[in-house]
Amino acid sequence: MTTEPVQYTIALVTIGSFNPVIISPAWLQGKGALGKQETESANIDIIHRELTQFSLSWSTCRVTPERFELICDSISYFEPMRDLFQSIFKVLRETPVNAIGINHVIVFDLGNATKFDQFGKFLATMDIWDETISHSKLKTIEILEQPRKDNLPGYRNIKLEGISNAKAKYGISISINDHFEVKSVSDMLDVISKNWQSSFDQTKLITTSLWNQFLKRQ
Amino acid sequence: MEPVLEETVNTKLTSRQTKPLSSVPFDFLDKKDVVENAIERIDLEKESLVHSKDQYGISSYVEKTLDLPEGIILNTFRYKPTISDNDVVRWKGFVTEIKKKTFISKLFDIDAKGTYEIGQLPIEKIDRDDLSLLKIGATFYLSVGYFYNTNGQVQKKMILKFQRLVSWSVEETDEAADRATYLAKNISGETLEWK
Repeated sequence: MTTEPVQYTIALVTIGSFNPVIISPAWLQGKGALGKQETESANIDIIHRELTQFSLSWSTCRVTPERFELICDSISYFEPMRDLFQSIFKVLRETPVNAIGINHVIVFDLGNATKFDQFGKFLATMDIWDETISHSKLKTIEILEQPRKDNLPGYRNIKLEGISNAKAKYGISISINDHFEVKSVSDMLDVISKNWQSSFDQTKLITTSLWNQFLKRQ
Repeated sequence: MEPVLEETVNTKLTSRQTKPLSSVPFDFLDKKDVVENAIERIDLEKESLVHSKDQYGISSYVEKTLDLPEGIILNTFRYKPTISDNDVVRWKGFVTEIKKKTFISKLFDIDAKGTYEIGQLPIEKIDRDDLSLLKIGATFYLSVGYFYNTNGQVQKKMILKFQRLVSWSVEETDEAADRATYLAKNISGETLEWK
């Protein structure tokens, strides 16, 4: 078992009112937010009034009329992704927005079935189900922090679930949704600038604390 | 707790050969016939997958009807990572001097706070896209470590990416200047004079 993540994905998600059709790699290049090669090699899935989705080699952009998101799963590009997000909304500065999420999804590999099972028991008491159902298993668990520890408007939602994939056979995915309520684009950009690093720091604290407590009980 | 196999969105979509939308000029994308030719058509299915189960979470996908033109479904609707890493050291750098084949920079470790290091980096490592951004004072991101490609192969490499930020408008610059003036006027403390 390792306490280092095998996968780290970050998503900047904002809720508001968007016009998906205008957001394209060519538009971003025109505004100076993307380079020529990046634009030409972008993989466009769709550009439509209801949905725009395209991928760069290091990030995916998805826009619906209610939701805008940039996703990146390469740590090396987390900062460039944030810059791209900020650039987009510097241009779309009049867009109505009401929330921004700095969302982290971190996958750890517990290494074997025994550890995986122990972690499930560490997270929740399962024997309360024994009287009524057989073979009870924990699939997901969610924890909400509201109000936030930093007293900013919003909340922090933490979701843990078991996953199995090529990188983590006995994996735990920890999704931390660092959610802030905002009143405008400038408010949102300010929130990102001021809370970007602390969001990572807090996420690291949460996961480190979780592992330390789990290891202590072994 | 048992491992639950990840359910990818792709498995829920009917996979048929599609013409990539990237081959379509952007200007014509609002024309229905071009869109219809460019993306997959299947049995008038209008259900697509969007991840909105969790209001702001990113790992849950549910079905939602989108108001797409009749008969059109997205050729792919999933997050497609092409670069992945989890074992890298990252720096934020500022260009301080440009030489013929290299440039000198101050490098600040992004993950470990502390003082900066001075680094000399080869200009040939800069993407052609970013060469025009190489100027004294320019900001860049540097990562060195292990990267995984889509086949799961691991490679040790360096990524150098210059910062691209849309410039501030005149209005924004004025706002910042006003704010700076306000702050300067309100800094408390005694005035010191050189003797």
